[in-house]
Amino acid sequence: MTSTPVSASLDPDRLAPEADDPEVGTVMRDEVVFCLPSTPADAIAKLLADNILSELVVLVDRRPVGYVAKEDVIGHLVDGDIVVAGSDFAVRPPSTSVQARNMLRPSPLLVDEHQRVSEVVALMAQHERRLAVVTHEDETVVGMITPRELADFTLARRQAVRG
Amino acid sequence: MAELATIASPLGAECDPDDMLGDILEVLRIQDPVPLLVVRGDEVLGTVGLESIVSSFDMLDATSVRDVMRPAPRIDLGERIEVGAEAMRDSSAEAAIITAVEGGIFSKRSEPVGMISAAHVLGAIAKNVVDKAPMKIMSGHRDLGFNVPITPCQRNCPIRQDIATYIDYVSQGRYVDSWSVIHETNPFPSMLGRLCNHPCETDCKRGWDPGEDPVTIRSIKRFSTDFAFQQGLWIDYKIAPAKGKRVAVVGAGPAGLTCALDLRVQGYEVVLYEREAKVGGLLSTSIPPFRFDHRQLQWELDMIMSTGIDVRLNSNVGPGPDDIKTQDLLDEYDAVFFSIGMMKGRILPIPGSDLPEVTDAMTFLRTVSYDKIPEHFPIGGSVVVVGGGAVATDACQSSIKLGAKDVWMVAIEPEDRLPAFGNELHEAKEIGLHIKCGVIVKQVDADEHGNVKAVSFAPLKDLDFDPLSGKLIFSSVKEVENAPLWTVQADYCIFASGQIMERPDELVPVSQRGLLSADRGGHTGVPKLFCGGDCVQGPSFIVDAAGWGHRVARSIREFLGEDMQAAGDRIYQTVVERTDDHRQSEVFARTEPGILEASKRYDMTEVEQSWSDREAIVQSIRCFQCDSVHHYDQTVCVLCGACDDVCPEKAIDVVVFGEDRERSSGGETRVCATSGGDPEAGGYEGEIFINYDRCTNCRICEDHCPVNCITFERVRFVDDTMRVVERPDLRVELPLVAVG
Repeated sequence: MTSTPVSASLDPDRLAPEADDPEVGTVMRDEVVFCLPSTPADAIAKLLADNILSELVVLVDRRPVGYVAKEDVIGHLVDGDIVVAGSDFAVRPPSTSVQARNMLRPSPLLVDEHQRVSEVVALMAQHERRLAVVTHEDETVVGMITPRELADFTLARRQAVRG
Repeated sequence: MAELATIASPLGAECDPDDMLGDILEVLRIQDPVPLLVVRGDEVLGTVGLESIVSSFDMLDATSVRDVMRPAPRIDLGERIEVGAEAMRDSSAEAAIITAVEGGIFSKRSEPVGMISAAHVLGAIAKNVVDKAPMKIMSGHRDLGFNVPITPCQRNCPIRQDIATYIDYVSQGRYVDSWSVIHETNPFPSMLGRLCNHPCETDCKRGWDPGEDPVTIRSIKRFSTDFAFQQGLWIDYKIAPAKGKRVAVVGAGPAGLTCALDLRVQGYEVVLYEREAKVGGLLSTSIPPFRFDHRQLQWELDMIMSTGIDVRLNSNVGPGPDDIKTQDLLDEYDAVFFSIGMMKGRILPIPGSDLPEVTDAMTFLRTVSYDKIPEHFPIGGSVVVVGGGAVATDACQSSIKLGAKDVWMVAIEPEDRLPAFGNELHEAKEIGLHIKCGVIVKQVDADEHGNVKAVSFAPLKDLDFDPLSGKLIFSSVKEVENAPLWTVQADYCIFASGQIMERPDELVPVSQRGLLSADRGGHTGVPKLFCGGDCVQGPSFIVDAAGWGHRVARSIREFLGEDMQAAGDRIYQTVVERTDDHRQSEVFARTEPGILEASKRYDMTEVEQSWSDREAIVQSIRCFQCDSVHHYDQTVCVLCGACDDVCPEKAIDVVVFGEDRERSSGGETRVCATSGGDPEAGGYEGEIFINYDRCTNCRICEDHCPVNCITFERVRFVDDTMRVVERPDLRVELPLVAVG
């Protein structure tokens, strides 16, 4: 037997993902919360709030075309484009004319379901995003990664190590 | 006006600025989306939220809260929500501390009494929503289905080929139409008709039936392409008016060429940089000539180049003194796309791997592609190829065809788990390839002159494979203790043990795997710079690379300001066609194209043989035509429910308002909405839904419809950017492509 380590004799691209760095498809949120370009800003706020998201992907014909960030919705509130109902008002405020298309940011962060979690996190950090949209190889969106999924994954991994 | 007091929550959990993120992760997760207060003594220093873990994910236990905390402005609880939101926005805060005045006249102080976060503000806005229609949550996994008639084969194809249509056209003898449909998204049908890993066939509905095999989709594509080539046909692309934008594409492989073509057709000026003396990337430098017809590849590349793409051969973009610099490209062009592949072979760092008769498979195949015999190649001698994938098989077969006497493929996986295509291995064994599995390479032995004389391998214990990816689990690779090395005599050793991406320069970001770092749309985070293909994904298939090309072209168009929601300048026509009944195809079994007999496979002649018309048509009518959709004549349908009753796949639901009929198909595609008078007065009213994930287009519903209201139709959209013409006499001499 020579002293050559096993790792030196293997093609790293041929190896299965390791347990502490699995494919993102195994840790993603198994649903995609999305809106359309015509979705009004207050509905976007509800989608963000109900699903505890900071960014929301915008789909056209099931294809991601952009995203909306919570800061943009809040910005429109500050600018007076959206009105919130006061507690002492019996009537609803006027509906907003601001739609997703008015605050659409291009280039949603798309990752493949087979990419490793570490790669996806690195991409999220590199692009300063809080949402990665997970796609199947045919570009169908199949899930989402947010800081919540990353936290759950990390906590579960730590729990497993502790036994 | 709503006040902050109406939405504020009590002050939540706290942490110290010197706490590590890893220590507070659980609390952060529990309290999300509300951040933790960062407190020292009685003073609130700021907040820290769960989002902060993204930038320090690998160093949670080494990143202190102080490093990532955000400011927390203080706002009086009597202020309006808008004022609180503005304070948060202006200070880039995740939350604001709500204060109230406490104490008497002389001891009056503002004390924190609560907090608001972005989630609180969004929740306040959300209360405006009364119309729930925009609230859509789309179910994720594709196998839950969207119930739209996208065929499973098309859904699984990275370039979304309209497979059912081009197969149907072949079954009708419309071969040129078939080829034209293929070209809508596939610039290399001659290559993909022979070498595609055909994920479409993996998902073919014909193959879902027990005892049935999928349609031979790949070979039908090859048949149409062979026909068009023999007829001397040509795709004439209609180029959109000039956009006035310039794009550089670096790397003329399948991803780069696909992207370049897409952009050129849309009116962009495209300059293609290729470091080789010919375009095609791995198509023309890594795939040996016996796998394809290089005249057809040349023909397809010519069609792309003739659109007016400016090709600059022998032009390397990299860090070398004579290389073109990335920064210069970024300065000169409106967008730059790197699709440089993984063109360098990996030689494993074992003793003896630096001997002169040791090479890597990529270098070896590249030399062969230029019609040259690699240096030191032992004609009449022994060759050992280390590796068990498709590249290894090509290196083995090429070695045999170049005249090596003994050729060994040696791999760590057992033979039934080798990554190589089974048919290619079978072909190679028929012409004399020896295979040794279950061993790992340890050293290349040299003789007294410093030339390769043998390669030694250590036997391995049984390996484990990941059930999901099918890939090897590293921890299971263990040598058999105290077992002697297995040594095979060799004059030449080829490492087919993976490929390496060569980073152009420091400007282009890389991932932990040593690949270029970009998302699935090719965005890198560097302005104007896009990357895609194998250099981002790792080694993959030609069709994946073409898929990258399409996606990145779309990203670049979006980046350069095109409205991708609109149809742009393209004119789409909707085509509605009746489709054929293919049920008689039950009697036909799947067949594959034949291959040359073994005795004729010792040179570089193409191995796979073409099909006759009859074979192609027989295989085509095996297709279920899953793209056919039910057309109910709503003026005739009486909602009798016969179609629902007879459907063997339970794919149809007939819903009659007022009747309690079970709706079990899960289908959401409404194909009929009809009424036969007021239900109160004895009439009927209802709808019919189909689940196209279940429907196999068997047409039993059509047979059993008592009023003959069901027909099957295809609806497709055709754009006007292509027309088929006879091959022109090219006035411009195009760069040499497929052969050296």
